[in-house]
Amino acid sequence: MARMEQMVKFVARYALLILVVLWTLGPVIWMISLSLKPPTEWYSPNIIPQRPILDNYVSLFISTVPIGGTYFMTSIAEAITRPFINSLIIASLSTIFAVLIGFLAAYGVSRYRAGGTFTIFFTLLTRMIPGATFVAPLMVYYATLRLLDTYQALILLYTAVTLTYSIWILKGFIDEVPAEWEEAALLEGAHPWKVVTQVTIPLIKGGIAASALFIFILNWTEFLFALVISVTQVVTLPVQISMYASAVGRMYGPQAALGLIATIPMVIIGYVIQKHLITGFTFGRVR
Amino acid sequence: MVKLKLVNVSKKIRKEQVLRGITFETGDKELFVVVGPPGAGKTTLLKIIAGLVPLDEGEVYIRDELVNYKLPAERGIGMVFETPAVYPNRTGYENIAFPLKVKGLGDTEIKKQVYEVAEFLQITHLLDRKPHTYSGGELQRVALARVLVRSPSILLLDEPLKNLDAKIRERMRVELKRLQREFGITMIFTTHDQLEAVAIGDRIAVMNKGVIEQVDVPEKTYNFPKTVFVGRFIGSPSMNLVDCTLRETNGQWVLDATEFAIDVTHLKDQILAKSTGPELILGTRPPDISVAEKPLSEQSIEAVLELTEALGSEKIAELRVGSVILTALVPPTFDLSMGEKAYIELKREKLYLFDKKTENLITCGLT
Amino acid sequence: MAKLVVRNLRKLFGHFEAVKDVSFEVSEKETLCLLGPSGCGKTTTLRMIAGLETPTSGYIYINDVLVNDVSPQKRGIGLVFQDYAIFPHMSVFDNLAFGLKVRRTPKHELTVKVDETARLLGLSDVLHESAKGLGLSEIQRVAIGRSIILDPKILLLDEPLSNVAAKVRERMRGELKRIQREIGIATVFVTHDQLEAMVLGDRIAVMKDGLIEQIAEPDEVYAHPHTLFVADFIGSPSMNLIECELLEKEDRVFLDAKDFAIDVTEFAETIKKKVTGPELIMGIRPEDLHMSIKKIDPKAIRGEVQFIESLGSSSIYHLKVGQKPILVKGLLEVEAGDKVWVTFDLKKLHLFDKKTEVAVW
Repeated sequence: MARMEQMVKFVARYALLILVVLWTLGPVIWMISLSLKPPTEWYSPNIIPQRPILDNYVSLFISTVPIGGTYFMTSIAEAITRPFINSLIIASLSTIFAVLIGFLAAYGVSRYRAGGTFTIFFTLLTRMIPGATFVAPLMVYYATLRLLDTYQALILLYTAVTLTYSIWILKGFIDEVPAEWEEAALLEGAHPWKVVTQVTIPLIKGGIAASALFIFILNWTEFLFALVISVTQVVTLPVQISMYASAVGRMYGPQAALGLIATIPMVIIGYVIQKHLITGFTFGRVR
Repeated sequence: MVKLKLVNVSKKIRKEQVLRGITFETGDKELFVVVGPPGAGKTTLLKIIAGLVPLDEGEVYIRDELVNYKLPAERGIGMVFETPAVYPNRTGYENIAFPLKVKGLGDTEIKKQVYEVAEFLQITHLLDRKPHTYSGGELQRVALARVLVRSPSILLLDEPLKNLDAKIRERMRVELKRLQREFGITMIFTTHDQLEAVAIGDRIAVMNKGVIEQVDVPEKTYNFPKTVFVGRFIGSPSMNLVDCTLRETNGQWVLDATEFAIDVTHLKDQILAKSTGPELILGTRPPDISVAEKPLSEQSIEAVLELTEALGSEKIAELRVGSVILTALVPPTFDLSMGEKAYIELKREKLYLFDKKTENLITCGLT
Repeated sequence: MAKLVVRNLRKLFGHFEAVKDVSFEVSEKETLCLLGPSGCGKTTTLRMIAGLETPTSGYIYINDVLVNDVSPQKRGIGLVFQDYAIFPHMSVFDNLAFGLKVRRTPKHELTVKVDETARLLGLSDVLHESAKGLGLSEIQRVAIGRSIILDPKILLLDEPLSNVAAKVRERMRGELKRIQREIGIATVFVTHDQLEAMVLGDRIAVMKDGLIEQIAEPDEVYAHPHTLFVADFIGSPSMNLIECELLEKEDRVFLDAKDFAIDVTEFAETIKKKVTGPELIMGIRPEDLHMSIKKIDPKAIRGEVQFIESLGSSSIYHLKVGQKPILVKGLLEVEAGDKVWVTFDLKKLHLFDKKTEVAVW
């Protein structure tokens, strides 16, 4: 009877896995299908398009291409490059700042117990407040400072918000490096800065990479604040994507296409640093 | 030429007095061991000497020069930590070369010095490999090489043998001594294992709760412990301690330990002079207790055998005398069974008397 | 029938054979110690018995039941980890009661069991104190208590004393031994410290590279090691091992170690039967060598004192006899540089075949 039990367990395990995969990838699969469908099929339930077209993608780059043979409001199409660059600039800079400043702060917290025991916890607490609660005051804040629709506004905001995560993650990794390894280098005459750059950072390369990727994804996909703070100049990809389903018209096809394209940078970055992610997590300390 | 001197060093960490009034000197080319239970303050002491932790009070002198305000790198000290400072992302060679690179030496010079030290420590085969392939002993040696390559005049080691297997520890401690002798370096290392300290130390400092209780050559800490702590800490199996009271009846002075008594009339002046009261502690070491099946003299004390532990070349016997349990070292041929009656003799010249309140030694040898 | 039977256990981690072929039995009330250096497979073997690792091949029987496929919880084992794994925020009582609470034992029965176990382990006084403030030896007893309260058939301990400072280890060793005697459950424990094994084990299984080299009572393993490895591993300080050659000269048979030779004519026949060649390794424990300042025994050998490790009641003398380093344990008033005479107690001499590393004498 044990064999039967094992079979059941096996089937159950895989059934559960398949369910979870479907649940997670479901929307993505639907997006792919939508992006290849002509407007007539946008509301149909079939996953595989009956008449697959690439027009949705093309329309993102060329403004006067009819989609599926019918004309739609294509003036939105021109806006693809601008949002893409905006997102790139804002997300990248915010991530770099968050990781840089975060590392310094994390080092202070880890090695010198900066801020005592409560401060680090308090900063995490601030992340528990839903963004929606302070969107309005924040907008007024920026408006007064005449920072609406500027890069600075979003970069500042994103950096500040993701700093907490950056500090939290990096602190964990710095904790893993025995303080004695840094002390040994200090004893040997290395300047404290040198110790950090030559000893600590190389040892937590993976952690920094993981932290950066995580924060980059957060910044790249941020919607609420980007929507409120940007007007025309600084529109980011998520905002742009949302504009495809507006009062002007529902362009689900191009919307899905743009959504997919928007994920490309993250996939590229993830692929490039994956080696660091793995080697970073396995420290290799002898027992 | 005195190499290291500490005068009245004290340190408080977060409201706890971790070190208090630490004063000692090491000699030139001496293997000095600081030994004490975990939490005694040994690591903090070493870090203060190295300059990695600032002290609150006191002075540290290296070669008669006050170094309180000198940076760690300027003190001419090498330190090997409990978790060997061997970076896993660099090869053995790169690890050992690290300090030389920091100094700014040229590549050819670095290579020469690294190989020199590697040969001395017999680790040349580890130079190309990464640390995760090393065994515990090899890791220690690479950490040592890294320190030695700078030719420090004082070497500090923080519990260097703690993470090694028992057998390897035995061998490595002799290695350490050999190294210290051959390199002619002043070495200070800490350990919680009194056996290690006593076996290879030229002189040892016994620490407890932030205070040094005794600094002496190992034999003296064994034969003439200054306090109850030292008496109990040094020597394995531990010294037996029995509470007793000094009593006088008709001009006769005895140490009354409830189950037995020892006449000390001839020592009364000495005892009275050094004690603060009649409450005393009697100490006797296991090898100094003889156990027999029949009473050997009228001094023999009756006891019941509770437990024996075989240690290979000798046996440990635990005997119950009333409410007290005494540990004795007996030859391997000892074969009384548990629960049997036995008679024990205490060697008078090896009895220690401590004051119960101050825990200081009053006298050793009650003949 | 033995409580625990292990047959031909084998464990592969990828290409690495952590355990090659291990078999042994443990009876009720018996304590078996798996002794060996890091990486010899002892912990892996223990984990297989516990059910935390699946054997690549081999069988494990607990009370005559094959438990290879049985989950750890159902095997009826108690496991005490190296770092004791008790709940610091709970009281001793709650820690001990945990397993019973999980099994929904009725409160009355639970209290009785906890009290009993606490009494057995000398924890009655601290029963209602928080586990956080306990000393190490008490924590160890709580850990043991937690594992025995569920009446396991077998008790497993993983390096019970390795995390403990040397001095405390002494005391805890004695306590453990006392507890073992009182509890009387079949026990298997793992350690790399041969002293611990000698004291706590009723029998010791010396392991190396995934195999058991010898399994016997402590006295036996000490006095009659089967292989070179066992001889070297047991005993502190380690046995002196000297390479030598079996030589016949003028009707007498010698063990020639270049710097000295020992006459073994009386035992030559027995030795010759078991060796594969003339190359042997002789072994003699430091405590079985005698030193004197004057030459008393005509067969004594000259040696020079290099260095002395004083251990309190005795010392370890590092001598050099010719080129060979020899250790002697004893007590003699000499200093480094002095010359002494060393005698071998032939009755305590061990001989190993150099090639097979098996004892021949």
